[in-house]
Amino acid sequence: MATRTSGDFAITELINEDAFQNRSHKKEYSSLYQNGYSKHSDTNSLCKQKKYLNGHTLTSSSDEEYLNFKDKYLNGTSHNKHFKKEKVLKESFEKPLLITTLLTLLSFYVLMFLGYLSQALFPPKVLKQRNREGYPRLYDKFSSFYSRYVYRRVRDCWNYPICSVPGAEVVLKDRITKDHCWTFEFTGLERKCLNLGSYNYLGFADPKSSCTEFAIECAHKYGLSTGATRQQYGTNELHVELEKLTAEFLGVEDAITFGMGFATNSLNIPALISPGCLLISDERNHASLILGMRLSGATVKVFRHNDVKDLEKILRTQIYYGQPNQPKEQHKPWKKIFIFVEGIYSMEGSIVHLPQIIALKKKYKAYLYLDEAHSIGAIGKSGKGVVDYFGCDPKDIDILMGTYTKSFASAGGYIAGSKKLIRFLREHSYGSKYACAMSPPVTAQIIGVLKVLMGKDGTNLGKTRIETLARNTQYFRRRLAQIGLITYGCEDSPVVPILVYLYSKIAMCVRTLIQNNIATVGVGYPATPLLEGRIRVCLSAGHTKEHLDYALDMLEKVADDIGLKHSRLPRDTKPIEYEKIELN
Amino acid sequence: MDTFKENALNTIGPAIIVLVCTVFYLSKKKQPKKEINEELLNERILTYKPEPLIDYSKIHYDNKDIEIPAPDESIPGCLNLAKVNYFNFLNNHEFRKEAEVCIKKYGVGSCGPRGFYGTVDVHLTLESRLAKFLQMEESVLYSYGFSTISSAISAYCKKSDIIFCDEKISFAAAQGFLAAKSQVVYFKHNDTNDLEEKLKEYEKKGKHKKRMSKFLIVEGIYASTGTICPLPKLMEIREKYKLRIFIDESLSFGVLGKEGRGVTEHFGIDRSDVDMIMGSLEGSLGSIGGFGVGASIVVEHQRLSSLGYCFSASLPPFLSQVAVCALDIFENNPGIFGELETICVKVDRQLRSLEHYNVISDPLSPLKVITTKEVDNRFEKITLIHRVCTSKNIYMVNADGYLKLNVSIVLDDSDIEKLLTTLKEAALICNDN
Ligand SMILES: Cc1ncc(COP(=O)(O)O)c(C=O)c1O
Repeated sequence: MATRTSGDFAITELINEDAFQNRSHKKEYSSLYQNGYSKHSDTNSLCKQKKYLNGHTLTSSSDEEYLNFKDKYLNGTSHNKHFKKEKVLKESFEKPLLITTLLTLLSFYVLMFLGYLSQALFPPKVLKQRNREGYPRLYDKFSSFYSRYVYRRVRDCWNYPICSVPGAEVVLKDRITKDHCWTFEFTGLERKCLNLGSYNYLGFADPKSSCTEFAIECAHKYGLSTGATRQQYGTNELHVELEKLTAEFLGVEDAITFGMGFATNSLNIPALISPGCLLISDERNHASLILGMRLSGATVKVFRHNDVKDLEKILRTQIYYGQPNQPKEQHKPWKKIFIFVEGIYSMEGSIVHLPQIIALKKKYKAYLYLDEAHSIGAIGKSGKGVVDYFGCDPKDIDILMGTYTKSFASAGGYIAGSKKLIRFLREHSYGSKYACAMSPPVTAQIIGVLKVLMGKDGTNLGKTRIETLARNTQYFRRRLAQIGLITYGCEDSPVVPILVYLYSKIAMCVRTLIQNNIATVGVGYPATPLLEGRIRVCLSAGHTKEHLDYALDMLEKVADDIGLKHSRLPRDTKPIEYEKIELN
Repeated sequence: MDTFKENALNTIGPAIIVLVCTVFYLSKKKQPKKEINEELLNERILTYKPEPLIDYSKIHYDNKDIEIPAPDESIPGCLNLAKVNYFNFLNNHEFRKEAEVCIKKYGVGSCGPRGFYGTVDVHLTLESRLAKFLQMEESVLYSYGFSTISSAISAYCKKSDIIFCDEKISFAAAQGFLAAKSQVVYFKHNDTNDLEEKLKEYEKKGKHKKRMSKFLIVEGIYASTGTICPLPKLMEIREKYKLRIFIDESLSFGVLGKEGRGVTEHFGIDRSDVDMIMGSLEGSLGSIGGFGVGASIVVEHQRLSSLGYCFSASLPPFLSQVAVCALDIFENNPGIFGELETICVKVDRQLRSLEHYNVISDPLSPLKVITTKEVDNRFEKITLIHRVCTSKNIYMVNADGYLKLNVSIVLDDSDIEKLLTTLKEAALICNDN
């Protein structure tokens, strides 16, 4: 590790056979780039011979190896086609100074200590349940302590009620607390804020668009609920149309939809997977994926966040050892191996290393489950998510899952893939068997948005929105780097986590920003690692340059006030011109 | 300052544990692992042949056959008993207008989970209205009926706990048990003696630790049978064995009881003795979503630890608005519960008069479950009867040998008459075959 340069990056590494075999293999990081990303040169890897701009290339050695393999055995097609798809991923996960880490840890202990102290001194202001003497407690002591004496003190930063569209701007219902956040009172005032918190990536939440008109029309025509499950009389024309459009949009054969994104994961994974399968999951996967995996009863292994090498290592060892607990050391291979990843990770802002993972999946004959909840609509040239962003073939991904809650400003989720897969799901998914069908206006809104994105409405409004979002993202992230804030994730991801580390700074930040009419989201333990408290900004195509400039000015002010400029990367001081940003 | 000392220890304790664990972890890492044999590995990679993604043998139907579309209700004589529409709220045009206003104000989706600017004021209104309607302290709103039950259960039940539940419990609850990983003991359907026996057996074993909770989970009206749970007896048992009781009122909320407050009102049970009531907006309220109500101290816990609540976007505002409208009607016009009951009883009596059918459901239940008297070939027979009824424009749910029909307040005598004659005819055709 000593060879790492002062700004200690966790930049992505290539899959490399040799590196895998030799764990102590040394990496060299050199030539810092002005925008804070570093060039990666690895003594053993192929990329040494090629000239790359900076960052990380996605033509990996294994990919090549796979192709060679294919050439040898299958007389495969040309290399060239494949190599055209190279994409440079610029991402950064700058580490804080040791002192920041120590302070964070210390502050957490102080917080816990104060919590215990106040628990001893002040009884909780909640009524006990009546007539429950002698009953065991309903939930454990620690969680009630944590929620009442640690979380409560910052409770005002979350669950802020709104009373308008969650568009580019949002109206918060002002509330105050007179008893240290035990209870809140509404002041009757409203506060119009710039909305950096909602997942409204493409700005379709605004009800002025044609999609919402269509939704209202369908509310009158079809009612608000079909009152039945998809399998038994709950399916109407809208559902069928939506599924067709979704499949067409994604470039796959068929798709199936459900009324809730969370349930799409938790109800379908168990239908597809049985015990005896191996599930390899990214450590930052969403709760719904984890729940689905748990319900399936299969074995789950976790790999380090977005670390393709770790994934490969797990794949190799697991194929080597097979299913555990076999009699007499017999070798019993796993029935199926699944890799579970997300497109954009909502807390890290990182984009999955899809081409490498596809290469691995092919090499080790695993299946790939991709959750595009945050990425669908938000990235890619035509808004088709990470698959589009990397120019991969959607057919390489066995199960494409996504939600309509974010970019589509609606609700629900889909699973897309081959005709056979979807037919299987229609029959066996718990979601279509037991759960209510999607509400017609919700369905109509998605259909409307899909039509705009695909240009079927005869305009290029969809394309404009996608480009605006990409431009906003680049602008905002680069400006943040200039200010000197530490952000996580990939340059093109509209989810921007800004690291503040200390627990109390999260609250401080969110409160000050709300005071200054900016609504952001703070995330701390347990949703993130203890030492990596952050606030998160979700950009939207609805934001104008003025919005962003205002937000950046405020962020800079807050950063100065409470000391957030932790970044030690060299800064590019050239002013960034919004209109001239090149989109890739 | 005894507590203080204890608390100080509590803080230092974890630190020591963490230290010990780290040392242990580091020392473990140094141990050399069993070597991987490269050749064998490569061979295994080459020869590894996974099973296909899906089990093709399990595909039985075409898309068209598996997803039965909603019937066209504008055709005269069409009787759709497949959808849940007790108070005809699904066809209420006032509701649609309210929804339109709401969509214009808030948009369609909420674009975020409750914690992250997804709490719209109509959510808060609906939560307080639900709590008020049920006369309990607090309620919490979910965006999907199915996830309500499973998430709410797994927020409380832990691996070390034991759950006693009816064998006919819904699939959603069973998923909740799975997620919670608790030990589950099923008792015979609505058989309180069996439950007591199981409890006694369990106590006798004496395996239980003091800390562990015992849960009793039942449904108000069972979705698979249409029967009502014997709540008074269950409450006695709860008291005696100190069980925590959760009632799933997905179907019974807004149906049973003089003022529609569900199975507790029906039996005159004090609701504060029930730990939590889970319900669905997809039943009598004619919307989509679900809720849990109970004492604040209980419900509050879900806001931080229920997966379906924390990690999913909130309910679209217009769907909450619809539920508020429905509650308005419930509160201003409690007579409709009596009306529904009259129809339920009427339909039940008529169905019981049929010679070829057995009625399983309770007379008061708006969900009627019937099956053939003969047990042989029940599955085929019901399928045939179902087909005959469908051809006559009467739509019901065919659930593996049982027919399920949902009574609605708009059914008039001629509709019931038509239903009965068709069922009779179908039975005759079926017996001829
Ligand atoms: C990766 C991922 N999957 C699924 C979901 C759940 O989607 P929904 O909000 O529609 O329930 C989310 C939402 O936060 C998500 O981030």
